[in-house]
Amino acid sequence: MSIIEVEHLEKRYGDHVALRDVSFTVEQGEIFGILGRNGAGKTTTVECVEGLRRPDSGRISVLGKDPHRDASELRTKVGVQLQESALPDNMKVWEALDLYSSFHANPADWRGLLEEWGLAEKRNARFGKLSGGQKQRLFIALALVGNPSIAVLDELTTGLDPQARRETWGLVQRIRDKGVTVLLVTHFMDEAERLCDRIAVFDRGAIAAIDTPAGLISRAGGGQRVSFVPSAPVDDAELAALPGVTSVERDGTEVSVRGTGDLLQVLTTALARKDVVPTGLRADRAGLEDAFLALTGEQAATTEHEEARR
Amino acid sequence: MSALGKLTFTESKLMLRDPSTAIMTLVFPLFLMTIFGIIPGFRKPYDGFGGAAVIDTFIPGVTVLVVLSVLGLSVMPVYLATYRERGILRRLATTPVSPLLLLVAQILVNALLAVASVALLIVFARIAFGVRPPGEAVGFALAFLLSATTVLALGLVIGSLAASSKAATAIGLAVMFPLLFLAGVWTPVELLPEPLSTIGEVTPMGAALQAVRDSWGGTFPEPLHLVLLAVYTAVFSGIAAKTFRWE
Repeated sequence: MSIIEVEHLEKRYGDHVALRDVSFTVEQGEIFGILGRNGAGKTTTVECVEGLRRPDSGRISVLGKDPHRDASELRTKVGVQLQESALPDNMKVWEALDLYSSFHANPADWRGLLEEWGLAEKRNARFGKLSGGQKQRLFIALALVGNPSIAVLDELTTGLDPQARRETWGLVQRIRDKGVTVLLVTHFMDEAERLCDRIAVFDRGAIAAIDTPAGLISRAGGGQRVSFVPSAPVDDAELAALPGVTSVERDGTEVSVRGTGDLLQVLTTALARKDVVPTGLRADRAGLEDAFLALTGEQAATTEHEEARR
Repeated sequence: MSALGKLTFTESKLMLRDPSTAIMTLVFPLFLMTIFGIIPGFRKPYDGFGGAAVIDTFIPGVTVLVVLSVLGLSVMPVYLATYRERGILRRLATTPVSPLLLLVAQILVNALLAVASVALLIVFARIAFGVRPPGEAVGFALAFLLSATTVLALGLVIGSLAASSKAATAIGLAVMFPLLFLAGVWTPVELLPEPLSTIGEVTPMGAALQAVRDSWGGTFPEPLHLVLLAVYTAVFSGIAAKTFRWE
């Protein structure tokens, strides 16, 4: 039996449709990603799963229970880290853990959690004085203090520096290693690709695809991208006619060729035959980001992407 | 320790850790008492008060009311609005305890602080100015309890309606001053012209002030005042329960 089942979830706020026919299941012990741009309905979905929000229609079952009807029972079994929530600035780290553990009937030993999540040194520090990474570790510890079967982590690494983000990834894997099923909400492609066993790609309130990261990538054509600056002019049409090539793009003098198979081999051979030297040659495997853009409408995404690059 | 006990304990620590509130609440009444106590005329029997001196019951009553108002209409609503603003209430809503428990803890903490403040006031007034402690102890306890519940329940309404901590501060002050005026804090109701004096006496703070003053002076508070306070408590709590939002 799936640990979380969501069927045909619908939610609207006035005229705005927040969720459209959202269905997915989460299996015991996996890290399930909910990936999408801001406003795609990710948080609304997990808040319905947490029982904080009531969907207009659809059915949700968490551990076989209804998030609304069995709210009090589920709250002991679902540990939550909310987006944009905080603790009082003057509360000390140990006080927060001590307090939250008193809310549960069978809490984990919070002193052990302090050690485990690297907060022992910060035991007496006040929440307001913690770094972003320390705050997130405290939130994880608070989400786990009730010994939950499921942990819901919403935008865990937003606002963290790259170093802290990578550290946090290791922590999420550790949560799963303890046998806790993780529902991870994120808008970071690298995070989802690296951590999640399966991902639901959200696009404007609906699910565009659900698959493993590798599955999503191959669904979107998979393949590779080879970029180079040719030493002499080459004809795009000739490149496009090569076996396996799916598209040719130019960005200034740089040519980007997408395709499948032995793309690099095919290209370099073809160029050598014409005595063209590809300088600054670079080959990338298509990643989740490419898949995401393909799945959620490349048009809007490409402009967004290009703006970000400028 | 139970969740409520731990919450109340933690909230108390948080309040003491931001010492301006606690110091203000404990020291300000003594300051007020001293200011009025050293005005010579206020220590003499006064005809308007049936022969009692102004500092015998009027100043202590006003001071009790000011303490309750500051805690109930300013400190607590701002705390609650801040907790809502920062997602603290929401975070609590995902745990097995109800966020309602935090409201109860906040009320308890503020009530404890008010009790401490009034106890200090009674001792200080006695030692420094020879003001007799409340003469009708049971009546005073009842008057104080109902005044506290009235003001704290009104504070919950403000905490429910205010969209932000800034709004809570503004609404709290806007509610506090007219109510204190009508209660006769600046001009005792005895000296207010009709119908202001009658209106004043039935407002939440007016009834509170009368009940506290009567019992301090040694007579049991008028049933009308106590019933009014109980009704206000029920009405304000009801409104707060209906309008309170966790986010």
